Amino acid sequence: MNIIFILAPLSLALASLFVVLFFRSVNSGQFQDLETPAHRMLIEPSPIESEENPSVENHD
Amino acid sequence: MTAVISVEANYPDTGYMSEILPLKCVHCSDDVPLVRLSGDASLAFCCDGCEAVYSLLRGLSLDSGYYALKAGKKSPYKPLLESGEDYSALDEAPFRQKDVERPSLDFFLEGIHCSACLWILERLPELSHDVLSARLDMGRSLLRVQVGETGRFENVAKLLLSLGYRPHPVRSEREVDEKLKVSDRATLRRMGVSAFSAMNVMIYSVSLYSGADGYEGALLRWLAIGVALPALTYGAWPFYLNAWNALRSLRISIDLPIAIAFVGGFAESLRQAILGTNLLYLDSLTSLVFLMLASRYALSRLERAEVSKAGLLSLLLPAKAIRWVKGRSGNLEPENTRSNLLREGDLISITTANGVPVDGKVESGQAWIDLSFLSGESRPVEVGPGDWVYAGSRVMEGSAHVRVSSWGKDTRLGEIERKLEASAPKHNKRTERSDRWAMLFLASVIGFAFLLFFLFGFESPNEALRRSLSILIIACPCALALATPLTLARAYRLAASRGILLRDPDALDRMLELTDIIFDKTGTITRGMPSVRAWRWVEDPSSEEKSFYESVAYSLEIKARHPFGKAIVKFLENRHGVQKLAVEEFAEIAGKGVKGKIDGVEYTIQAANRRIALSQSGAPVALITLDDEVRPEAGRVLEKLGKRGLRLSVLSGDSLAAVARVAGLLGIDSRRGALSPEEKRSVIESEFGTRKVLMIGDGINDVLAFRAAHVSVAFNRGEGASIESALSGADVAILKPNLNHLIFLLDTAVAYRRTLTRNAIFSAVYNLTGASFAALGLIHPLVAAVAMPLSALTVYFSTVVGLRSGEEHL
Repeated sequence: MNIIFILAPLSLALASLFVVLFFRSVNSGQFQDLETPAHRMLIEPSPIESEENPSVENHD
Repeated sequence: MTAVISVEANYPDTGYMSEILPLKCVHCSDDVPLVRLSGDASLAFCCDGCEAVYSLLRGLSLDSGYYALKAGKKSPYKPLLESGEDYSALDEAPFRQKDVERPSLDFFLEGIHCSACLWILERLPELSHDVLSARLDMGRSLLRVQVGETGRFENVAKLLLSLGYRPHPVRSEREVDEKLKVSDRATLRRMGVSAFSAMNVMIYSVSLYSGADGYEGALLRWLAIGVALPALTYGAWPFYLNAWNALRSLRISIDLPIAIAFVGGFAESLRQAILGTNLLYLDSLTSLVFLMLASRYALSRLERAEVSKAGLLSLLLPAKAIRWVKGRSGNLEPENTRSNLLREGDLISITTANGVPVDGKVESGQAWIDLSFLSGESRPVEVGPGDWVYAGSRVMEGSAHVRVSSWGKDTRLGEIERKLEASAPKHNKRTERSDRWAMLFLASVIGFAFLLFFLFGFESPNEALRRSLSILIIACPCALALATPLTLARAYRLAASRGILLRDPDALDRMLELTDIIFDKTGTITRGMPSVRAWRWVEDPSSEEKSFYESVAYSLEIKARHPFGKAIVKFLENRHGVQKLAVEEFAEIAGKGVKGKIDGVEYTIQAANRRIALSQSGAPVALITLDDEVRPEAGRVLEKLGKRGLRLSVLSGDSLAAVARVAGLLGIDSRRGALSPEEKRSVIESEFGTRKVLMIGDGINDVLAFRAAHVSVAFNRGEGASIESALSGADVAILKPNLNHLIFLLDTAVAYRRTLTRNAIFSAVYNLTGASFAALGLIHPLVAAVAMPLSALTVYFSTVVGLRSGEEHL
């Protein structure tokens, strides 16, 4: 059970890393607009589509 | 073939062309008037604006993507090909910064309603050479547009109008917005830290509850203490701050018992850790910190998504103005200038191309002015030499020379805005109804804990201390503190789904105290736009002749700018047999009507007394009566309101006769007419002084009255009118032009209060029970860890269920 003396601080360190990353993403303004990206996600054509079938949208 | 809508898709299976249901506009899915249908058209549009957008999109191959996303949803506003608004000022300071390579400007857009909007707006660069990039924030309806060096914001604004949005440039009076953004970010960071603490502490706690001991137990205990600290200090900081601030002003807010629970809980956990037991409450505490931060954050985000609070004067963009100055030859010459550069004593021209930019006296000429911002009426008023005109009004016909008497803040409009700002809103702070209860609650809990400690203190101080502190912890009014923002957030959402914006959260509480409802007349009870009430033929023509004359009237009036013209067009466009005919020598008869030649014969449509006559070569053929009709739902809505015991009144800027007629129709005895915006307010203050009034209105002429009301509601009169002007000073905004929403609003307030009460009762019961158990020593931290989140969850469900019932009342 002594392994816990290594694991516990290690997991804390990992979790702290995530907190730091979270701080950075908050400060960069990612959470400013939570609604629009949801719509935007559904709209952009995927890269595959536009490369392999370039004429899908423009054909009549 | 993706863009052509097949004919079958629009016609139901009747097989008869003449019995068809209305065809839908390809662009906006609204009904297409009969007159715009040509024989075999598979593409039909409800107006020129929609047709223009469709062509634009199709030309750029953007149509299939756009209409696929739109999927038949209706737009709130029609595309406008011209608006009479002068946007040229957007390319100068303060809108456009000078030394920036790619200047950007934010537009608040009315009319955003679906993903197709996002799609088309962010493709603005493809639609216009001026635009480099466009980014939309749907939650706040803000579009940030970047232009190149040669790009003009003016063109951007016009393009946005033509796409069916109403653009309002947003100036940087958004410090409030900035503060909210900063505080939101801080809350998010605190949430992140608290979540980190809570989750790790929970892991340790499970081990401790399972009986960890020895060195491992010690490690876990102290890790738990250490990891809980960030949540209980940094995370919980806002609660400590609020509690302290309240104490300083000798109040007790609900944050105080919460703060005490956190501090006391931590102290007790620390004590237990030192004693070497596993009775730590850290998991409950840290997860509660997170929950409470999360609920406040959610509420704050909802409050942020409200419409920008533009001042009234921002409605008047500095526009082009023509000033007459003495030239070298000694004669007066026209000079192009801007309205914000005009000064007292200047002589300017007002024409239909611009609005009236200043207050002044007419020196020559004749014009018809729309004074709706003062009286609520859009019936043009004739002005000639000696008459006054006001900034904010629009010229419907004619032109005149005006001697400037005041501008900017000194105009009538500026005065209204000043009065609006001067009178602080009646209700400033959040009604801390929970304050009194919090005080009572806190007093009883602390008293109880102390009592317990003193009673059993001598026997076993350790146990007594543990029990007393556990009382403080379990009795934490977290569920109650969660309940209010949660309920409010739910009410916001519910209202927003109906197009109702709650700009002042306390308004919901105030709505329960109402005694009276005061309606504005024009645009609120009535449609605000004239419509045809009767059409009488002078002689009795055959039905072909009738269709012919109707076509004549339609073809003439479709070119007119007068609101009467629109009414006649609307009346005729869906009648069988009406077609658009070619008109020669079309002319507007100043102030009275229109005339033109069709097939060589002259026709006129002009006002005679109170009616409008359609004449052929001078001989009247038909007499048309127009009316501002009362909204169809008004009768029943007023009846329902009356049944609730509310007294109803009408206050209007329109003439006494008109008010009397409408009020009589609806059975409202209390009525006043011909009131100026200031008078509306003073009537409310003097005659309704002691009563609790809800004022609902749609225009600038109501904003001052809003201040005097207990609750104020800005109403969108519809038909493409922008609601921005009425928003200043209103507690609530109803965006869809239907009076039933008022009833819904009141019902929501009732459901809100009921849910809050139910939550409060539940919290009280829970706390009593918990405190009793704690006193008996039965509250093991594991029990607390389960009971506290459970109570929060129960409150959550009670809220969600409670605020669903508001919908059934309609």
